Amino acid sequence: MTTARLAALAIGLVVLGSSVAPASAAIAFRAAASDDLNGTNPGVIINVPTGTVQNDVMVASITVRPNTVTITAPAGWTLVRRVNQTTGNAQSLAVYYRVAGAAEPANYTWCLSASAPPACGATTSAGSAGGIISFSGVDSSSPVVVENGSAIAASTSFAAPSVNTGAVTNTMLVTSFSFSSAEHFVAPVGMSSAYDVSNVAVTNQVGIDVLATYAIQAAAGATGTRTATNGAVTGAEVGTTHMLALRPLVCAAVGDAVYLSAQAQSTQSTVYWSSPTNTNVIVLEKTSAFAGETPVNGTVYAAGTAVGAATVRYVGTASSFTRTGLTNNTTYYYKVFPYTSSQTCYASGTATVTARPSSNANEQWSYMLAGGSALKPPLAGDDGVFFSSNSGQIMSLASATGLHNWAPVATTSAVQGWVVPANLSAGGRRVFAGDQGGKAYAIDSGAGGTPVWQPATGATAIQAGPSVQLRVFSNAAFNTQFPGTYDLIYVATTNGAGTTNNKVYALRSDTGAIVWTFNGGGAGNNWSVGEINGMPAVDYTRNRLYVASLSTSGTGASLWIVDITTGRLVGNPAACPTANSACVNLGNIDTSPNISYDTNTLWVGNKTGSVYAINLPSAPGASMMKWTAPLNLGANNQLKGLVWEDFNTFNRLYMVVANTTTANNAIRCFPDPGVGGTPNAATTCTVGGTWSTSTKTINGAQAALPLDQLYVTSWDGTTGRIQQLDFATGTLGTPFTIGDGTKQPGDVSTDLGAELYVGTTEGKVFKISLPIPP
Amino acid sequence: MTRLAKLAALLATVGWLMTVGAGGVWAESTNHEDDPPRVSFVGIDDHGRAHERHHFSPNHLNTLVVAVSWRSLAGAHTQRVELVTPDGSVYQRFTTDVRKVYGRARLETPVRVGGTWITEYQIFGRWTVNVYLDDHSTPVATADFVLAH
Repeated sequence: MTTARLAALAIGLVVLGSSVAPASAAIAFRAAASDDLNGTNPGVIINVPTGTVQNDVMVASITVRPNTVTITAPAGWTLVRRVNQTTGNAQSLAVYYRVAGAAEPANYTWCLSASAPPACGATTSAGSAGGIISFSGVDSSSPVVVENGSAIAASTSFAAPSVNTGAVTNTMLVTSFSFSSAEHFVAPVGMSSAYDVSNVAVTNQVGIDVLATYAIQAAAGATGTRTATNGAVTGAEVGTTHMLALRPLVCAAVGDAVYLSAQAQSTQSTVYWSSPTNTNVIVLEKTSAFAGETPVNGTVYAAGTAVGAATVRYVGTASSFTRTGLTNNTTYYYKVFPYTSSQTCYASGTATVTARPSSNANEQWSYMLAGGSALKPPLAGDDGVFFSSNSGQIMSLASATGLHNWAPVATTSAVQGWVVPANLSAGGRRVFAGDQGGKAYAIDSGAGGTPVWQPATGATAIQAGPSVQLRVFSNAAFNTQFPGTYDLIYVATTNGAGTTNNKVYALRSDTGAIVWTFNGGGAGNNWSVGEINGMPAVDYTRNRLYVASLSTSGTGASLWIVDITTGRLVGNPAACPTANSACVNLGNIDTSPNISYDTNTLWVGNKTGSVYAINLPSAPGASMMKWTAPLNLGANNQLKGLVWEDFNTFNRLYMVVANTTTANNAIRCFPDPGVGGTPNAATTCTVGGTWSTSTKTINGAQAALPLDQLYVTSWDGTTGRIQQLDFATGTLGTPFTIGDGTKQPGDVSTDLGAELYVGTTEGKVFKISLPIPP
Repeated sequence: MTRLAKLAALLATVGWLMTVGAGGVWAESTNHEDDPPRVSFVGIDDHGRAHERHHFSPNHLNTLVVAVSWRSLAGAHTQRVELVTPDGSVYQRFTTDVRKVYGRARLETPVRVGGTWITEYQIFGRWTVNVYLDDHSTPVATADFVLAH
């Protein structure tokens, strides 16, 4: 495989919609109605066939004797052809069509006089009959491909003339037959009879009869004749025939919803979508997974009607709707189908979103964004809570309700890092994010989610959330180096397997302009930097940025201490890695380093189970390693997420430890031995409360957040939970099941400490109020 | 950077399309359910080395390439690749527009694994990949791979 064999490149995009090939809707018989035994009434009154809906095409065949009778059609009907038989028992056949509107009357009247329907004048005919057939799936803008009629001399055989559909396939042939006798026909072979009615009871040779039949004509071209015969065989009679071919609706591509999401709270849900190309949508709902239920092109549905096992819950042009009266603890599935208003052509509706109203008082709301996992839950800012997902949208929700603050902002690819809100030093509020397409984003969180900048950094991908350094909390050295009012946003790259060119960009918060680039090239700034998957840690005290990366080839540096005022390594080492310098090899690291509350320690754990404590006042330098050796978490273990400190007991640490067997994941309480100390993983916490062991196993522990207790998300392979762990004793309380528990949770966050936000694999985030039952 | 590493980096950036026998005129099968594409998986480790298999260890898997080999594809199409987690959730969707293809085509979709949510939250077990063509709601091909220690 060589690059020379690359014939084309196509960028992989994370989108819900797709372009689609034109799709033909099959024409289908809906229903028929007719006016039987009409005698010599002055009008032919025919019910609209049962079930006829908007955009159906109705074909009416009216027959009358003698041929001189005036037929006045009701408004909205188009005459296709009138065929007159002027010899013998002269008679006439008139064929009409009409596209059904939104509100059809109960019936239509054809007057057999010059008077206008429905008040027909005096009787002028010797007999009449007629009927209507409704079809779905017809091109309502040009229903008839071709038609023809024929007057038949006295016979017992009545051939409707052949027509030629040209290149049009899958037409619906509609044939009409009439003769001057109240006798029924035998329908042509291969044609289905819709109705066969006479003005008087059969058999009566002074009456008149009309038969209408239909059949799909798959092939294009000449159709051949269709012949009905006189079923009673009471003798030859004159007649008239007609054939038309209805054109199937052919739908061009209809763009799908750009995003689809649903909020749920007790007994109700709100479904959101965006349809940029067609504002009309219908929303289908089910209480089980969709199994192919889709609306039929050409058919207009009303709310409350069934589409297979689904029910239409909304038809309109809004971008959301709220369902009330839902049953708690039931999962509702929704699909949204944008459609064209002119032809009623539907999008494919590839995405499904679920809403599960909950009776659990702690579950305040849930919100699902279709199209990908959302394992980093919302972070709270002054304008709401913010998160993103693999579906490539940045969301802002009202923290109280989970409803939209502003329409989602599309990204070019998945966003897996935190979406970080910040109150800017110069005023105004922003959220910052980076995506796997390499773009960074600043969005005005207070002005309807307006994107402020999206610089092209040159990164292949951005995995970690951006780190923000606010000027208002920065020291004089920072302000001297960077005069102005902007803050700095640090964005790290993840450029792909085996790459050594990863960088950190410092971007201006106001413009997105690059202030400096760590590892941007040139003397003293050209290093072998592996992928950076964790958020860099900002040291306001020392104006340093701590960056953890993979170690290139296992021998490269993986902890980088960057001078924020220059974008270069602190101390300007001549080579990397160098022990006790600003670029040391601590093994492969793909988590975020984090700084202690007293700002003197940096914790970072690698992929092989070592946790390092960096003594920041001495870093870089010979005493930069706080401990005599790293904390060894043991075989098959590694640090998961951040190292958390106890709020009350200095040097008491908590960490989630991942094991290669997730059932053995655990929470560890670990007493920091201090500067010069030697860590021992087996040492139990005894100060500030005693744990019986240093380790508390939690099957599938995912992430932790210390509040009044240590809240830990977990997934044991079948149930997603929040575990409550008592800081002092390490004992577990009653686990709380997240939603219906069937999806794996990811991280956990909070706003004011009175609630938890949790993300899951299915793209659903939850707000859970505290306390949860102990 | 080695040639292979460059290719790996390229794959990590774009979904790429390789056509075989371009220039010929192929009759496209109208029903790909009767002639489904073959789905295979190539793992690229942290050092850019590639391995084709169905079972991967997350320890050193940096990028998983989902390769879809079409045998009778003609004209312009849209391919959607959907990754489904072991718990049955849609993890991520990738859409690739295919233009002017005649006959056989191999489309590769790189999926980042190392350092992503997959390893961060240990989403291990049997994953499913569904491949859709154009606006079809039923996958034209489905394949599994296992991500586990």
